[in-house]
Amino acid sequence: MDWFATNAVSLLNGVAVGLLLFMMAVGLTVIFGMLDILNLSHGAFFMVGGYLGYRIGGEATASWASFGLALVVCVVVGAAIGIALMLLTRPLVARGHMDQALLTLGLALVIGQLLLVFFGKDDHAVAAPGGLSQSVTVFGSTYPVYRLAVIVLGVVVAAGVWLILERTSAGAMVRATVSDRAMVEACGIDVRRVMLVTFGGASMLAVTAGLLAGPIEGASSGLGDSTLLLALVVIVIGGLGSVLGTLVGALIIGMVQSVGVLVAPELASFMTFGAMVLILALRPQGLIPARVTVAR
Amino acid sequence: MRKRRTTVTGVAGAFVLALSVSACGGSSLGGDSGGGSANGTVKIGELVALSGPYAVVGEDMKKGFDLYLAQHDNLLGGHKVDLDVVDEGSSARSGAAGDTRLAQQDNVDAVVGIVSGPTAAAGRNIFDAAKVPTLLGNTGSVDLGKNPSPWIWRASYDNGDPGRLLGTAMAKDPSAGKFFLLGADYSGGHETMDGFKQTFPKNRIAGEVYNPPFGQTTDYSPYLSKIKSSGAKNVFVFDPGADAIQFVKQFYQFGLNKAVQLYGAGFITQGQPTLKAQGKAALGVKDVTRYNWDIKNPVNEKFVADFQAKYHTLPTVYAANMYDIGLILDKAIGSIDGTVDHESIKKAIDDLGSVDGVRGQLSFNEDNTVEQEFYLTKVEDTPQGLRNVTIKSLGRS
Repeated sequence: MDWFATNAVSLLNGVAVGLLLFMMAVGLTVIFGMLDILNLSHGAFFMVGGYLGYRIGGEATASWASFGLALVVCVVVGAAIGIALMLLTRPLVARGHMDQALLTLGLALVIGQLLLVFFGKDDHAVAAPGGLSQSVTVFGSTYPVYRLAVIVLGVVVAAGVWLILERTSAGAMVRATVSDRAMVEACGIDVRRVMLVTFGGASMLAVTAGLLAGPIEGASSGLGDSTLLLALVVIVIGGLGSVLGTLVGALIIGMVQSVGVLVAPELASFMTFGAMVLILALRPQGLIPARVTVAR
Repeated sequence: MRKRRTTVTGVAGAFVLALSVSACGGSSLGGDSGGGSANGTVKIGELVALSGPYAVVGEDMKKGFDLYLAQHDNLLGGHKVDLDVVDEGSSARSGAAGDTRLAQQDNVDAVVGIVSGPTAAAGRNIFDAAKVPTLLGNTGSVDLGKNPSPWIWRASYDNGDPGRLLGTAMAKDPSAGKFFLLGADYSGGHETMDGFKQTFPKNRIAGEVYNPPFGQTTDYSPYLSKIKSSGAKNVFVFDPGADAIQFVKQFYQFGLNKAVQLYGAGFITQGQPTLKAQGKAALGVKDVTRYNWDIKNPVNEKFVADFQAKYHTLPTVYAANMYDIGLILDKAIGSIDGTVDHESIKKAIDDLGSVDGVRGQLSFNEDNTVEQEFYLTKVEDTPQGLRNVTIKSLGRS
């Protein structure tokens, strides 16, 4: 019974970490899937959210008001960064992923260094708001409430993004814009506004995810690189550009990291990438690839 | 289908790019190079990380050395100091580039600093071949003790020291119960735990696990459940930097602090910004360290007062260690009768004997490693906020 208690908590934690990974990756998958742009500055966007959480939300303690304010600032800053990204990538639209990768990688380095200039070089924590910083007893073990909140938040974000992108005409409009801009314009749709909203929304997701992950991941200068790498692993496993695939990929990696350490701790460093290699060997297109492929 | 293939290739390329980000760096901030030491001046190369994740440590080291020079009118042993600061960056490659630059290009009389073990390991043969006296101010890489160079002094410590001394102290106390060992999975983590295992009885070690290092582990909960189910009453941890902040917070959030005593290997609660980030989760955490701000000796009292006046925070072990190196170099160069060059500086350090630093009495053993006292500290809530407070000495290394 004791064994079950320990492992039940590990399974619960696998879900929490998985949904956290989903939030880390969803901004990347939206920009990639909808706009066909490989955004390597995604990790840096994420890091911006973490640092805003530390400075505005609070480091050791945060109130609902301060965390809420941080959320609002993240939304505004995220939208602004998204518009900047749109302006920067516009000249590269026809030039393939490698040119985009180089541009956004450079952008990541610049943002990373600017964060160090603005917020200093020390590593920081981000506090969970109000009562969410407490711990409760789950299956006989002490468990932080914020991780339970992350599970709820992750499900809400996943459902929201999936509904908007796959089940509304707005989502279809964006895909059509990327696919054939002239035709969409001919239908009387303001293409610039569609692009603006999508870039802004996707970047907002990335920055906000950094804030929401803050109470678990903190804010430090190495966070951007590790987040980008994990997010790339998750979207490659799940199938590029697919929201549902990203969710499944994130849950698998979360479970592998959480339960894998218990079973074989000496393999912890390889497990995440081992899982990716295994899945890609069996299903090179990823688990649930996007049904709509953009063709130019 | 073709589109899909190029996309996958693009992402693979992106991986390579993302991974190579960390290989950039290693630029000099010193400006002019060459020339050699003019009469009356001594050129000191300072290699510390000023960019990337190790910049927190590197900046503090620089502050400690800067303070020593500022207190002493920018003189070491009566010679005016020409300081050549080079950024170590965050990778072994940028660190080695800095090693090479200082040893071969910049004509420095001595090198001080170096944050990370890989930079020191790469520098072992570079400084040895160029015959440049080098004083290490942070890394305790064990390799340099096994394969010492007559030109390199570990003025820092040996990675095995904290574990050995804690192990010795805890082995004498059977009521302390079992220990669980958790280290970051790279040389620093393994060498620290190896030290502990040398002096602590095997049958009282409840488990030993290494986690992916350098920010790759942000969720410690699986490790925490392993510690919990092992039945250990204590855990000895080596996880520096941002990892230390998350570990201490999660140790508290998952309620382990109620049943398990946490011991760090010198970095777990180091520095006021770290304590501020950890908040009340840090309360009661013990740490094995070669320096704490409240050590009682006249050199340290002056150091702490001046450091606080200049930087408005308490000094860390990183700053203290570099201050001691300033003091060692000052004494060594001051004892030189004749020209100050590589040979005479080396001989002067060899003949130095013992020095009273902020860490107490310091001397070098036959492997060029510093012998010093270690302390056990505990985080307490003082009227000035959370602070590491020295609770006892663990003896000399």
